[in-house]
Amino acid sequence: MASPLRADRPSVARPASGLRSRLANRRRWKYPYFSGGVLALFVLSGLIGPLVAPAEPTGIDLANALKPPIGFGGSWSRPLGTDELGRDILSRLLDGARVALIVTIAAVVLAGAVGLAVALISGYRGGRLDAFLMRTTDASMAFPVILLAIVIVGIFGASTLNVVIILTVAGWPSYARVLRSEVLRTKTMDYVTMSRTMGGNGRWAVRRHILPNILPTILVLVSLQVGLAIIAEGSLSFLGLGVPPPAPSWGRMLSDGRKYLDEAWWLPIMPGIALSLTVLASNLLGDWLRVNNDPTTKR
Amino acid sequence: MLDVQGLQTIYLAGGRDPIPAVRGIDLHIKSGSATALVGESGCGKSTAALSIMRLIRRPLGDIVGGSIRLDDTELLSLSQSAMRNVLLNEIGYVPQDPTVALDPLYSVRSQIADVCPPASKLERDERMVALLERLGVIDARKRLKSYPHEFSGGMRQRVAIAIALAKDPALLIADEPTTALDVTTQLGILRLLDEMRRERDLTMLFVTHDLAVARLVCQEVAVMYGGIVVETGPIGTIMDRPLHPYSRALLDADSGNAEPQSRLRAIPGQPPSLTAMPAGCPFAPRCPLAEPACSDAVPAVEVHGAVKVRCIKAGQS
Repeated sequence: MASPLRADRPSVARPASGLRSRLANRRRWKYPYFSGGVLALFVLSGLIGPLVAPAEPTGIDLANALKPPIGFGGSWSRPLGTDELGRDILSRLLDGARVALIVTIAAVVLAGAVGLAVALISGYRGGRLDAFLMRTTDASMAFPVILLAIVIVGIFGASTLNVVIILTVAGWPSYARVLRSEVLRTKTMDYVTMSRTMGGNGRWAVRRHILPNILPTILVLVSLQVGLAIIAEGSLSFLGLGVPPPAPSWGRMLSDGRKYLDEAWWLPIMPGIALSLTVLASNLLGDWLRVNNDPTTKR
Repeated sequence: MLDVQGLQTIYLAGGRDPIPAVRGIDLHIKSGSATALVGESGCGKSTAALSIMRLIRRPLGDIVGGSIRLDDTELLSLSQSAMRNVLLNEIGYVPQDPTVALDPLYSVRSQIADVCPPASKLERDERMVALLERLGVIDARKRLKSYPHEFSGGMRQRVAIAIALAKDPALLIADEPTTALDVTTQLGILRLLDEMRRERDLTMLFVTHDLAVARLVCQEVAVMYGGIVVETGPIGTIMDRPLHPYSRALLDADSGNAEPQSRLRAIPGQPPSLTAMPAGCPFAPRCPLAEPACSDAVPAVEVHGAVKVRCIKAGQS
């Protein structure tokens, strides 16, 4: 029954309808189905892709070059079509996921570790060391990644390890920056002062209070950086500075395929979709983590 | 017993001149008694409290002079690790704002356990429950598992006091422990602190800006202004007959002491900036009794019975 108090007021809660309201309510999504699903698929492809792939990712079959995907005149044996050398695109995408996964995890973990270490030292110690580390961070941020990549690849050649190094060198400053400010915020919290009044030293304060309290931020940052790392790896490969052939990389598939855009659109489009979906998913997951695990948006 | 002599603390501000925040204060607190450190914001009272725990350290600042004796130990000559031991075992600290003084990530049990003397898990839990119950936390056994956000402000302050007392300290430093609480809770916490002092023979330093609050828990008072103690003595004596013009102004500014329907007498002007401290008596620029001689040098301590006061016109009006 309508309460007499409410009688003259329009209902505040409008009935939920369709995608629009779901998007508006995204903050209240309980679990990140889409992003979680896509990322799970990505990780799974990376882990067991070669086992389920319909063909050898580097198997050349010139008789079947540029076959279209299913639905556009293709066959089930080559579900996403073949490239200019007759290689199965799906198999190459699955194998490329493994490359992207290894490079991304290595780069994010290394860059994160370096960035976190710098952030803790810089933020907690403060003083001149902080100034020095932050100016170093600024300098690293200002240095163009592509130039760095060209220099490193020019000197040491293209290899998976070098891609990881490039991404680490390019990635750590953002961690250092964001986490330092988090350390600064956390260390002025009274519970950190309290731990000092109880006779705790700096290392104790960092381990017991600061690190656990900035963990949500680290998680959000990592999930966002995963997306950036995947794009960066793709871009490097696109420019020929990334993972060397014959290992298939999404970026290089995109780059090689773009020459065939008018006659065989699936060559660049398929890796493009894989790349975009993975990055989108990792960003959405980061968003979800931020909203749901950040105590400041929750409490 | 806490005996502070000529304590001087500075803050370091990058390349600029160090800022003197505490400019030579003397405090003497007998074992089992409580002294209030009273003054306006920025007078150096919290800095003094933190200095006693030696928590003002480079690069933030430094203790540049004086002596701090807790019972028979000179705290300023201890090594860092020995000082941490003193903090862990001898000094309890009650924070100003209990809402942010507890780490939101850990249960109450875990946070109290950090400071408990070593004992078996069971024994430790028993002690915590007994302590929390003594401090008025209802259903303490169940509440051990709770997290700080599940407590109200007053209860959180009780937990914070439990953390301070769990180590069975000799000295309790309370930095405006009731400022962040509502008035009805304040009285309960103040009573509790007073009871704890009696029961455990605590030496207590009570930092506050409110003389009326100080009177409820303290026997002695030290009034601070501009980084020095301007008047110290038994709190009743000073509140009844303040000798220093600043103490009097502070009492007059309290609405509780004012004549009904009269205008509240605020202290004109502002406290001196720490970076531009007057050469003589820091209160001279705002003092109704000031004369040129006041600005020559910081007045020496004059003894008037049990009261010590730094004013050349002490007791005049």
